[in-house]
Amino acid sequence: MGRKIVMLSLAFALAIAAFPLLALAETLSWNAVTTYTDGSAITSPVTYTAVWSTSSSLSSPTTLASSITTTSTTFNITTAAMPRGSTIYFGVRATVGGVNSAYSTPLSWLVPASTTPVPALAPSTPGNLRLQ
Amino acid sequence: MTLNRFHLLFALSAVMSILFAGCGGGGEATQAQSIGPQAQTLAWDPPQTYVDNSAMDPYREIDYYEFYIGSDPNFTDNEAPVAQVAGVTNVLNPDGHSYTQTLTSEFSLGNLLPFTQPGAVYYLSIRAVGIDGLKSGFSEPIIWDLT
Repeated sequence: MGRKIVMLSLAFALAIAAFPLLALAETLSWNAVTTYTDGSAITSPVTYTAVWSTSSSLSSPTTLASSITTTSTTFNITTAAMPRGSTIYFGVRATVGGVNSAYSTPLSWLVPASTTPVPALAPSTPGNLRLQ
Repeated sequence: MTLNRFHLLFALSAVMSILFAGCGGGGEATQAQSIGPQAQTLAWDPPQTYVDNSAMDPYREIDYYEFYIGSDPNFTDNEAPVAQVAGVTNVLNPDGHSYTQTLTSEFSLGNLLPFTQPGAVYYLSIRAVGIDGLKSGFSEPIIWDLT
């Protein structure tokens, strides 16, 4: 009776999207993990942990979301204290039955330098008011 | 038949004069001062910049103008305008079908007479309002003498 390989597939596909109507809100999403590395189907609950790091090796990662069952997470650049104007790397790992997969292939992302809206300006005062 | 056509043209001419006067696009300026206050025209130079002096396209950025009248030249934000006109005026071309956009820069003061009393002296000021709703400062008030 062979033991099932518990290391999970790393075939994550990460994507990031910004929602203009939600100021500063960004969403990181990935594909669900459905199989073990041996190709057999996962029947147990899968949770995900998303992290980011300034290192492409995801060293010293900062957690964006932990043990969530969804395949996306929305974050705020400012709240997450991401370095504006710098490239960061996202990674996600899956957990099944207390066993973690390795992190996905890192997704690089250039943090917008600034999302401060350009302040609206009033017109200057009409000039040379006169009677004709 | 000729008489009827003449009357029709006269009527149209009169209507057009009223419309142009109301829109501030009339060309009666030279006659205005000799006719009376109802035919006077208030004119101004449309702003070409934002309040910080950066360039602005008034065709796109000016929504309308507000007109203020008072017996005191010190206008404040608490006062309500008595009239508004669009920042851009569509002028009918000679072909009778197409229009040309022009910057509104005149307003017939006859429109403000309901807010006045004969024999009084008033101060007039205007503000430009941008498409985002932000208002310019008050223009330098001028005297409108109805005595």
